[in-house]
Amino acid sequence: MRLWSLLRSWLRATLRRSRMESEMDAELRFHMEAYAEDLMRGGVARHEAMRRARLEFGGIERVKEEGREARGANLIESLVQDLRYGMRMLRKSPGFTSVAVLTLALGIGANTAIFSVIYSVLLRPLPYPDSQRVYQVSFSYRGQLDPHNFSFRDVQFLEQRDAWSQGIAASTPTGLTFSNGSAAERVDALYVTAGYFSVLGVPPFLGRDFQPEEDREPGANVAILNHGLWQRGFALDPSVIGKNILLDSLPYTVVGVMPAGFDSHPSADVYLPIAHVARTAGSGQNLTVIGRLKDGLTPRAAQARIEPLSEPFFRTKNVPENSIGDIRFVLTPFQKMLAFEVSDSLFILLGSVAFVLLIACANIANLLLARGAARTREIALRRALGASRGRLARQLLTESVLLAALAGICGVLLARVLLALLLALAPPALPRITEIGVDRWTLLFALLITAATGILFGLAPVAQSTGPDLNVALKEGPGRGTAGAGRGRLRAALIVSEIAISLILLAGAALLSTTFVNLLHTDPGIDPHRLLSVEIWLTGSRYHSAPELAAYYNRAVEAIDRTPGVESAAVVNAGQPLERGGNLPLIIRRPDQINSVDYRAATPGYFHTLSVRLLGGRDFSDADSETSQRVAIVNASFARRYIENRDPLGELVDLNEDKGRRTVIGITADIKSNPATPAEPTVFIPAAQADFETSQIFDNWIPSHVLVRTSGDPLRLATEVQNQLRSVDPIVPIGRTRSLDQVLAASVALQGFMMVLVGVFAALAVLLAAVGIYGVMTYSVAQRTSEIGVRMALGAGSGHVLWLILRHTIRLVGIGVLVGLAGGLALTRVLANMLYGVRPYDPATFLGVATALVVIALVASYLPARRAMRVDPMVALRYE
Amino acid sequence: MDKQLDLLQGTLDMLILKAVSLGPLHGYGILLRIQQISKDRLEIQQGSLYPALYRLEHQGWITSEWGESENKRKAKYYRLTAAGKRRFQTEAEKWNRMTDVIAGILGTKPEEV
Repeated sequence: MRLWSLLRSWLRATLRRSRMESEMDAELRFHMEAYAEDLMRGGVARHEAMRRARLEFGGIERVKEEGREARGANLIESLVQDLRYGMRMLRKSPGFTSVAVLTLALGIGANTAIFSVIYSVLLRPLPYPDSQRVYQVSFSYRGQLDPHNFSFRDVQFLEQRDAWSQGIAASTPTGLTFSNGSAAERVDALYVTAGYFSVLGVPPFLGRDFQPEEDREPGANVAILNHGLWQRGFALDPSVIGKNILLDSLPYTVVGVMPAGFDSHPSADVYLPIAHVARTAGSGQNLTVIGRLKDGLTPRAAQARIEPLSEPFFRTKNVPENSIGDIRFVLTPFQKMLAFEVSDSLFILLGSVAFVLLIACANIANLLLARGAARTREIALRRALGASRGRLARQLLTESVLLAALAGICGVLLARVLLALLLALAPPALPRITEIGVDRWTLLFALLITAATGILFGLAPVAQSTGPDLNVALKEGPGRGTAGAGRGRLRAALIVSEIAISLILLAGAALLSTTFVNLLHTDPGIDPHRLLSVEIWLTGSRYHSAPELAAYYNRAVEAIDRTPGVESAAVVNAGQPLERGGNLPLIIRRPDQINSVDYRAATPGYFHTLSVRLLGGRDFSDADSETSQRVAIVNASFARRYIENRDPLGELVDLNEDKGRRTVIGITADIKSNPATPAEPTVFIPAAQADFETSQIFDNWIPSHVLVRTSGDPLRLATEVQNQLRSVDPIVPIGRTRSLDQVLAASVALQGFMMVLVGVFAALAVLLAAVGIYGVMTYSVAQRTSEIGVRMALGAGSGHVLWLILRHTIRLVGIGVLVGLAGGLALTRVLANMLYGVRPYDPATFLGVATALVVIALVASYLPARRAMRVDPMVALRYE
Repeated sequence: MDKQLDLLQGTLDMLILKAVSLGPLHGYGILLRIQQISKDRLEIQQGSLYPALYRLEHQGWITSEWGESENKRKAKYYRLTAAGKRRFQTEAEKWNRMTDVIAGILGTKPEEV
């Protein structure tokens, strides 16, 4: 009620401004005239009466102003006034304004860009109805989440005992060659169970969903198209339903089309019933399992219902008895699992970039403090003229927020550019990358941090300017005397925190760079230079037996070998170096002990082409054929792990992939699949002796690779090699063609991404801190010019003056470095999982970073200090 | 300086409420009524009356309307609202208690301490 009347009165005063003004005029005029009339009645002359009435009434403008204020009419007016005044102040010092706006815009832009990635990847719900109720099943071992995949049998186990979901679904990706009769292309396919789309909550918008019986063996040849492929391959023709398409040369009937905007994770062009891969050793063991929570069931309750399944399940998996208690099923939001690999990195980036913004704020606060000191007189004068403290504080804050707003606008524009750069660098592990953009939530975030920064750095000058004693301030000339003690402390604190934060970022960047360099220089076991790799997809090809495939490989290798510039070539199935590959169960000697080892099938010349040393025995040769002795080559890790104290040569191994054991005929040095982890024990077999079905399984999800050693730049030969492959068999789809150096770079892409971004943020932080120190020193030298002049006139040498100036900085830098070291040691631990070959508290790194920072800080303060040395005592003393 | 002003301001509000509680008055009339009932013992800066009036009106304790003055001229008349009446009563009570206390303190004789 009272609030309402206040608001009404305020609205009336604000909206009916002119009416209020004229009424006020009339009222005051009436008062004075009535008084004058009374005076005239008492015998005073008219002219004199009017004069006295005005006099005794007091300052009429002041009364009106107070009246307006009493009604709250001034709120908007004074805001407009403040804004106008603020604009004028900013325009008056374009140097300050542009430095401040640019600094902040960088900070705000970078924060906005990183936030937009985080928002799109981690926070924005997946585009499915009620998507936050879709959970993925994985397990945790001793509290560590393992984004593990399950086999089809595991899925059946979970399905039969399901008490937590409205239905669970499984999927596994593959690549297929698609043909609609006229053109062929490589497409991404996802094998799914019949319930997959209903778990996601998005049915096909054309045709129908998969039926449960299509999910059972042998599996119906039916397919559901994603909207993109429907558009590309069929020009959105609705009569596609019922038509046949060829996938890997097999006919499938299209039964449905997914709506536009639908995407699965991983994204796919076409969906097929999972029955086709359910029993196979490869894809059938790599199923992602998701489910939608039962209605009304909380995630915690659902977790409680799946957990009791852990023990019986892992008992069937031959988990050692003493570990059974450490391992259990966990339900994790599907969205969170998608970003499992990158979410830590993203939050580290957000933290780093927030630090940069803090430093930017500290710098602006410092600049404002310095300016505030110059404005002390102006502010004291305005207070003497009757401006209240609150009014002045409001005006100073308005100026700061105005500054921040300008920076915010520039920052958002900048964010788009930065985001584009960032996405160009983005590692392949970053999911939902097409969804990332500057949207309204990102803009809201930018608005919030803009307001927060404006207030944050705006508070410093407010605290300072509304404090000091009027009389002192008015007596002091501009830029004269000593800076107030409180102000000096505030500025010192800002410098200390800038140095500390820079040090933390710099340490993080240094650790990540060391990691990256370590990874690049880790010995991958091969010589990656001058090596070309071409993906070929052999599923659905015309080759239906191992000898046919081997013959194709030989023809391809021969054709490429003849190409000028090629030194040698080879083909490998189930994974090339520095990328993930296939594995198989292995039996050595004792049939009850089954181990999982990496498996590769290669043509003769593979090790030679890769420059891998043979540690013993012999290489594969053309004589190793389907009919000759079954042989294998193992790597050094294999020999170490499985064959102790014996000569590996001649050992018999059973790869379970086919009938019959293989004799080990050679040992090679290790070849890494991931630079950050040691090589797995690996068995190589001659491609000519490979089991055809096994090769096919691996070909489903890992392409075979043609590897070519060249005498010059490998990428120059890319087209030539592709042409040779096409001339040998035009039907085999050719995938990516890259140099092994590029493959190596891609394998450390996430680390590289982190190194570049944290490095850029650290560089920005150090630059800002250096600018901040430089600014403060320049200001303090200017402030102390007369003091320096006096000292020099009294005989102080230039070295003494230099020390006088530097002493203060050295103390601040020292404190900043100590704080930064403590903070760095505490914070770099979050990087622990990302580092390779360097510990998070690496003393050398911290020492180096601290030294670098001290040097930079000293240079930044030496430049202004040198100016102090050159002060001419006469000029300085006259300066007063 | 400030403290005196504050005191005066608070008091002025109360005097205005008292003045208009006796019947609707225009600004000049309020001034005259205060001077009359205070028997000219209080000096009020004429201009300072208006910000106080606007503040009281903004708070909803008095309300105003345009009417005709004694000498047939348009003038703005202020009247006490119900909320203003309650406000005046509590303020007056508070004031009386305060003056009693202070008078008691000031009237204390040395032997009473």
